[in-house]
Amino acid sequence: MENFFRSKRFKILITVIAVLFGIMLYSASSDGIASMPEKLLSYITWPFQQISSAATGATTGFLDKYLNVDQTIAERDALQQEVNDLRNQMIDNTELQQENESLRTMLGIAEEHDDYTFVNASIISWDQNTTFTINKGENQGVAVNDAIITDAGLVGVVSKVSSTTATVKTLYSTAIDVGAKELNSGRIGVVTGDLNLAEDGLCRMQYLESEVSIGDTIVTSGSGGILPSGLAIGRVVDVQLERNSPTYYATIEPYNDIEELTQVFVITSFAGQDQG
Amino acid sequence: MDFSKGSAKRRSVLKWAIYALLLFVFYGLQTAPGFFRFLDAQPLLTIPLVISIAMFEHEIGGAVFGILAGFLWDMQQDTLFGFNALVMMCCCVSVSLLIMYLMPTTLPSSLFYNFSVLAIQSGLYFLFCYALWGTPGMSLVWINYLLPQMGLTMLAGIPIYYLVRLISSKFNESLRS
Repeated sequence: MENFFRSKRFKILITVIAVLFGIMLYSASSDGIASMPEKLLSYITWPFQQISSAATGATTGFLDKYLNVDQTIAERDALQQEVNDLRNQMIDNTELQQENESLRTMLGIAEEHDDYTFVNASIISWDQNTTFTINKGENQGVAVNDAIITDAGLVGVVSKVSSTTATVKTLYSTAIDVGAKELNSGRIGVVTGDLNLAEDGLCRMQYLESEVSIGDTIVTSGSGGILPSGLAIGRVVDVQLERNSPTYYATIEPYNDIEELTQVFVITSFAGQDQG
Repeated sequence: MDFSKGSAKRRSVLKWAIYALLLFVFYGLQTAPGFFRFLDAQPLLTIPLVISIAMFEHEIGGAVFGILAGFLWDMQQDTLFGFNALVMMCCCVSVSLLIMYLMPTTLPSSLFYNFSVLAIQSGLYFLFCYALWGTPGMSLVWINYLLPQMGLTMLAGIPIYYLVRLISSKFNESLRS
């Protein structure tokens, strides 16, 4: 063993450790922009991730048919009931309109906000339920702090970007801070993740100077010009006074079922961006 | 069989190319949405792979693959880029040296190394990403993510150990002969 510590190999390894420290320091100071080795690796791994993501999706779909028959039947019955109810309530809607609801809503957002520039993206990997990776990056115009949305509203924010992929922090992440307001009263706060609430698919809005009501709609405030204002986040399900603080916090149920998402949209630019 | 020097070199290059290909294929699988998912965790296939490589090959090979696997893990986990690479490099070199001087190259040793490396990395990840910030409900990270991930990775480590042993023995035998 002593020979190893005197050997040339040991000196090389010590040098490599120093280089790795340098890479870490560079990453820490680069504000979410991927370093050269990270960009190179993301190019190499991109095809492997695309293939395995597609393969697992197909395999899961195939196996689900046989493994979850009871669950599927129960879900089918529940959905059938829901379809019947909806049919009674929405007699004017045609079947085609229902099928295209999501796309039309997306189109609606684009028409309503003609200043938005969208890029559609697929989720290619997950880490816990707080972080996922999408298959679009710098090459497609995605940048750090871009909003990730669906037709239901905000999903998260881009935290790191490489040439071909981007890492997204979801509303469940404790590392996310989104300026938000209650739609009608305009009461402002900050939406962030909470590990206890994330268990139940919820997040929290904190620093509220006065109470909001259960059922209120929370949208982005657009403060700081980082995210567009008026993006739907979720609805209030509970309000509590913070411990050791005069402010309130609200428990928010996001409009998106985040863990079930496979496709999202990135807002790459909008009017008023970066204007505080 | 008689192998010329050139042929031996080609075989050695082929062996390392296979290891590299396995690394990227395993990374693709471990990041695929829903792949053997339990709670919030999925198995880390690249970690037992590079630990097995460190066991069956020399410490420099182990270090290089440890760094690569660590970089990939950094990309997946969204930690500070280089953090896991540093941890994995040190772990893989230590595994190589332990195998060289102290412990036998067996499946129980492999499981012990997998557990140790995962425990070290998980502990550091928890410390730097949650404990230091006093994140509320941080014990859930162990219950829903780190412990299931360790369990799934240990299980995946068994076939991966035998796979690397097979590749190493096939190529090293022919290189020796």
